[in-house]
Amino acid sequence: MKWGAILGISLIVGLLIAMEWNSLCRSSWKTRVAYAVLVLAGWFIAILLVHNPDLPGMTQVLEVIYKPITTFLKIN
Amino acid sequence: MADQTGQIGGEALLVKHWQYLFLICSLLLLTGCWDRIELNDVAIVTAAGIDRGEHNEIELSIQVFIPRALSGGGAMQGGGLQSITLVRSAEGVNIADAMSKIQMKIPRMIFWGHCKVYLYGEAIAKSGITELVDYLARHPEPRNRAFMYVSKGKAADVLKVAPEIERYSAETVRELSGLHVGMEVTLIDLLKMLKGPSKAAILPIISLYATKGSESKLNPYLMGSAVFKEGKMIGQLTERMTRGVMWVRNEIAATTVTVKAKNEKGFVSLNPIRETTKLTPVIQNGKWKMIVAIETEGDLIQNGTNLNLVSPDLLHLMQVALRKDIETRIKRTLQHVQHGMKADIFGFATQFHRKYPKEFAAVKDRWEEKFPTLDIELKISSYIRRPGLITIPAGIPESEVRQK
Amino acid sequence: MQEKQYITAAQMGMMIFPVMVATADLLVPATTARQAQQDMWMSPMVASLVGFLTVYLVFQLHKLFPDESIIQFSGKIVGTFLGKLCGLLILFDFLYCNGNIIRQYGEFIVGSFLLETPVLVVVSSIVFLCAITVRAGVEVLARTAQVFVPIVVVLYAALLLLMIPFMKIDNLFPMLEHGVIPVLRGAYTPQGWFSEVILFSFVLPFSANEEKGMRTGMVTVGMGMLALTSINLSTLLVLGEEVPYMTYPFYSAIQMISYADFFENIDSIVIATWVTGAFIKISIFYFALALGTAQWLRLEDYRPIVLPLGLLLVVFSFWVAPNLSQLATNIQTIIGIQMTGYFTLIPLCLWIIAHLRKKKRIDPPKTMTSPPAKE
Repeated sequence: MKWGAILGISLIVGLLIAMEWNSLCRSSWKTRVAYAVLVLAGWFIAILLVHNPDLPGMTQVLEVIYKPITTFLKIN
Repeated sequence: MADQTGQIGGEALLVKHWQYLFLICSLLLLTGCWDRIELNDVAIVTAAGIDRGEHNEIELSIQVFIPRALSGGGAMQGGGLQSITLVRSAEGVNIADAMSKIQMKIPRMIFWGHCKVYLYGEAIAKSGITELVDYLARHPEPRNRAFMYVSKGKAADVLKVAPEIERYSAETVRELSGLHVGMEVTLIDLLKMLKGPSKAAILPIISLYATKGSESKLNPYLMGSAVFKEGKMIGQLTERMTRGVMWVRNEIAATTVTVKAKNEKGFVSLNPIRETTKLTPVIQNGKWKMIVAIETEGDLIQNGTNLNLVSPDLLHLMQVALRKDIETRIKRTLQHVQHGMKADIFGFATQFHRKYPKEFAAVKDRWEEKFPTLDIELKISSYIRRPGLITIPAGIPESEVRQK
Repeated sequence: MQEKQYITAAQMGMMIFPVMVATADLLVPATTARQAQQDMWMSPMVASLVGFLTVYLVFQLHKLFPDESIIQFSGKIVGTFLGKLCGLLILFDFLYCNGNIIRQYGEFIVGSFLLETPVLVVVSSIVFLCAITVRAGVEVLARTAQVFVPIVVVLYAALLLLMIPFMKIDNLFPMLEHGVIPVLRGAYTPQGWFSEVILFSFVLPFSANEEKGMRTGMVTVGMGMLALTSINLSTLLVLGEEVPYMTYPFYSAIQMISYADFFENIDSIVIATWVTGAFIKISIFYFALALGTAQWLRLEDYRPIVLPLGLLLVVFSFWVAPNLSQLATNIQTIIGIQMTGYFTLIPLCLWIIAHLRKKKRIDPPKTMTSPPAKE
């Protein structure tokens, strides 16, 4: 558990929330929920990436999907 | 009205000024935080030499520029010019390894960005340079336009020399190349030659000579060129041969040619010689031929004969002599390179590949055998354009001058 | 949404032009050269066909649904659920693509220029800058593009001219050595970049003069094609056979420029120009992402979610690949085709379905009174 990195990321997330605090208070609940979801998603994936830089993601999905075309065209 | 960060501006003086303060602070970042380096913490490399060290390692020597000698110019005491460069060497498994060891001997960060001269020692050239060029091509700092040379003997010796005209030997070597009296090969040219279909390369050779009288003062000069096959040096060419190669490669820029006409006494010199070479590959009935068409022209600068070369007939005689001279020169070079060394340093392989891709693809792997069998046809046309500032040969009484 | 802002057709064109070109001169020329070798300059012309198609689709759809971006009207064509799905796919791909773009930007800066700076710093600073720009609104974005893009274009043109003395026409031959197939294979990757013109869909609702729309789009794609062709051509002519083996061939070609012994090593000017172009590209993508997400969620304003999306962008830029070699392989194999899959195929399907539906709506009344008219 890389506490230093986690702390840093949380600080940045906190900063983001603080910057938007005023406009979030004034806006609808939908906006606040959306904001929270996005920020949490970012926070979570960032921490995962810090611990495992090789985290499988979209790239791997795409590789699988497009494998037939890639091998057919013999691109590489 | 859209604001920058959602805050209502004009609230308080501090808020207003906060944005300008932020702007000014961000200016400080323009220098780059991690990559900032002061000029006096940088060791500017002007030339690098690579030799074979002991135990089959590489000895890297770099010539580093010392700026302080320039600024302290007024206060020179005693005789002798203080050298404004110094040379440091270290051994390593490869260039990167050796470089890190040299860094331990120099208090400033080594910077390759201004290094225009790379010399390969004769010994290491013979054992192969392909691995050495990888560092230069891959690392972002060394420039693609840097010049490559082979040095007679150890490269480090050339770097240590303090020449007489230029400030440091790297500049001498570089300027010599720029004059096109010998070959000029940049890093990217070398890479192309090593990877190309001809698998042969050529690099100019730098050697040191001592001026008569002051045997201790050595100066670098261009002494012919080195021929490589598959990255290893296999032979040398004299200056005359190198000139022959340059004729075929379309690299002769400005030089002097001295010819002697048949049945005439005395030499005639022409300068500047300009030339254009056109290579045309031809495959006819299975016979591979390369037509080398050279068009060259020059002005007279010395007439040692007793001919009046303003007369058209006599001029024609001289033009024929010029043509024959170039032809002989090139033929001799071709004999040596094509049949002796079997190295395609003229780029004939690329020419065939461009014009006859299918036929070339068939012989691509056997080019070393195919190349000596090429028929080379020379078509040279030479013109003497101007006779210089005087017409008849100077110093000979007019009665002895041949007019026709 | 907030009050309507207006941008002109010219501004629109200037916003989308760098989107196609800015990063396509980094890693893509090497990819193209590996497939097409000395015919690499012909590949952008083939690849631009995808761009023209996408522009056509986008503008036709815009005619059917003015004032709405593709996220908004996709539900009207295929129903709420499928519409939301299309929107989600496109938005997610915006996030992924922008992550790739930012990563390419970061890798280039750190790999060639600021060798010791952590990539995170480079990436965060550009995302932060783009966040501020996007938050300021589309008019600001359009005006920024209007100011910077002409400068970038002029500087690029100047660079190309300066490279002329170092070009060797011989490098073009043998032309079409292995036929047309390598050219098509070379176009496999760049065509993805051309399909990014789907971004027009997000910018069109703000445009003032509707009639010039399609022409502007076509002209933009045409200019993009010209730009990429000339970049590929000049790289090929200067470097020759070395292009497939270099990481950033265009950048290496520019380093060849040297006049009178002192006008050389002009890398800094090139990078400054290039960063400007990349900044505009990332901002437009970011804007489309933010606006699209807000539309998808039916929020009243997209501005509050700009910053968290920025965080996600930084995260994604690291997620897409663990190192530069993998990133280069990704670009060679999957990036091009997946962009077309989302940005051209989805609008294509939507357009076909919208057309069929329109026909179905028109046909039934006619059969009652007269034989159906053949369109």
